[in-house]
Amino acid sequence: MSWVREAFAVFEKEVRSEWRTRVALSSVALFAVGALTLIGLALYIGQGPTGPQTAAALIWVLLFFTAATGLGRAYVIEEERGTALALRLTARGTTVWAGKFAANALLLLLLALMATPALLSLLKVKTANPALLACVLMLGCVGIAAVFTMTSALVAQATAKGGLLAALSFPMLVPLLVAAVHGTNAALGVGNAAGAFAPGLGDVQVLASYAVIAITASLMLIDFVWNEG
Amino acid sequence: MATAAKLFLGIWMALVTAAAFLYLPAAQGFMSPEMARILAFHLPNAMVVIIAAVASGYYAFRYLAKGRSLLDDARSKVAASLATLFCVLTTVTGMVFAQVQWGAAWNWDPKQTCIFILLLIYAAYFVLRSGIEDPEKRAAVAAVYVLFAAVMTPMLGYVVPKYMAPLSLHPKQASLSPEYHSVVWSFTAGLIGLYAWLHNIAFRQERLRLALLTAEAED
Amino acid sequence: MEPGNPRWKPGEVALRLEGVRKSYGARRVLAGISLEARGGEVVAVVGPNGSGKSTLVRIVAGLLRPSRGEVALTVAGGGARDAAARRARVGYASPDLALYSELTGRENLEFFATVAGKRLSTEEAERRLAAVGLAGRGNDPVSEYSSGMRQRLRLAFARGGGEAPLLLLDEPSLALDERGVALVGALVDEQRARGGLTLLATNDPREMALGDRSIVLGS
Repeated sequence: MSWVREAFAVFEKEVRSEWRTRVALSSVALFAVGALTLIGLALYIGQGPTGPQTAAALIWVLLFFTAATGLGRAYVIEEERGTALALRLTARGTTVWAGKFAANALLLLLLALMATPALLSLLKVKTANPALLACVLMLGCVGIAAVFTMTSALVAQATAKGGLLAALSFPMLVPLLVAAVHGTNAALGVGNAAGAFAPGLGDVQVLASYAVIAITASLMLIDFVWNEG
Repeated sequence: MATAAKLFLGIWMALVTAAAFLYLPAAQGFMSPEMARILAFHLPNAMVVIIAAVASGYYAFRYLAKGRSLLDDARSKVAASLATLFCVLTTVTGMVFAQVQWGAAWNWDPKQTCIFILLLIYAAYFVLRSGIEDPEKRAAVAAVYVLFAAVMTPMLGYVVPKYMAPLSLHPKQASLSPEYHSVVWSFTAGLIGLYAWLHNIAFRQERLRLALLTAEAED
Repeated sequence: MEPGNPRWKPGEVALRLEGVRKSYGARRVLAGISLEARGGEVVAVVGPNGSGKSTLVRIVAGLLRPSRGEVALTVAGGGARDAAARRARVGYASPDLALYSELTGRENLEFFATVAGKRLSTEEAERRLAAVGLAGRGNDPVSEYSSGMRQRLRLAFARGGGEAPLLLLDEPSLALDERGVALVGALVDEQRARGGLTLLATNDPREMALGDRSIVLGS
């Protein structure tokens, strides 16, 4: 019970800090707007028709790189500003991880909620099964947030932080991205003209188990980094 | 004793290599049967990658769970660097084979993809290590990354074939002659010996470096 | 801040360092340091810049793993040998430690109390702020604080509810005015009266005078 209260305090602090400064929110939003503009322009110049397969791929490329720009701040900023010392003295590693993970997942979900419809309308792709799309997006974002929160804790200890976060996270996210793209394809009607849920069910299961494994592994390992200082 | 073992290993590897060209028949059922001999080197390399990866994870675990000895960190690092080396060898031999048999070096075949991702993980691992100055912190962070990757990557083994199975070029059922089995396993045994030897040399070097640094820091 | 009743009897709080070293590769930051100190004592850690005062304090706080050596804090019979247990028993203030600038002073104290598993009422938070001379500023964001006020907030963070048996102060008078310096003296006196132990890393003669004895770190 006390664990939940402590984790929630971290989550609340993250959200409150973010609401007052809006650094992560604005950088993530600007990055997404930039990427969407680029996609729109490129398609306008190319003049070619784009199918749902392109849309599915672009959604996840966009989400991955947006996460890489925005979610890495979680631990990195604590180390850079010196608040990590105070936090490490008082809080448990697992509660800090859980609070930061929840805040990251929320941020990424908000972004997915805004960017995906924008991208789909930009590419003029219709959604065959919105419920499946929502499931895939939600579970995918949760998994991505879990991995990035964990790698952020590792990267925060290193000096060269720039591209390291994406380099550490990408190989581990491949299973998630593969399943997510496959599920998004199904939701957009690729090989699933009727818009049934069943063709994407396997992907939803993979994404859910991936998220559970990522969260469990992080909670089991984070103390080793946290207690190191 | 050690010298005898090294001598034996050298002769053994030379004999098996010669056998791969002289004793091994051309593998029927491939586009270019003569060139299929590279399998005798490709498969053992892939098996050693797995051994090195497991060793790296084991020593990372031992560092965190038992005694926090920087020597365990050194063992984990050495195993990771050898895993990288054998990963490269596996990828290169595989690409040569794919180029000859299917006309394209890279096919996004599931096994190819998996080994490539493993390569990316080790590359990131070494970049991460180089960014941390404090040896104790570096050891802990690197060990956590190795273990996190060890938990997250086996999903590749399930997920990647699931989505990419129709594209797989790796034969499901080995239709190779029995000579292949003996040569492949003999080479694997030799390569494991070679791995142990390399691991030992590299570890001793790391241990010396650690002792030297400690001595320098203490006088 | 008035001296309260003794919380720990003489000898209930004890700190023992044995050959504590820290080096980054060949670069030695801290040579073997040994120290025995008991509750009620104030030990000044002095030495030139770069002699490892802050490093030593961080190691004692459990925020940094030593390359070698032992740190043992005993409180009323119960040991706190591992770093995580020590962290929960120290009050720590250092120029390297920052509090959240986008939160208010009171929110900072409340947040750190909550994540430590304690409950802090608004009145108690205000009392703690008033004790360091920040009465009436609790609802201002820390970003609007002067550097002296931030230092006072750090002291309030280190003091907490006065439950830490070991108080670690790294340059506590930094950026403080005359009254602020007096506040550090009061904080140290309070800790002494409680029967707690204080470690004071400093080069400031006024702070050195607060110590009962001092250990000198070489450069």
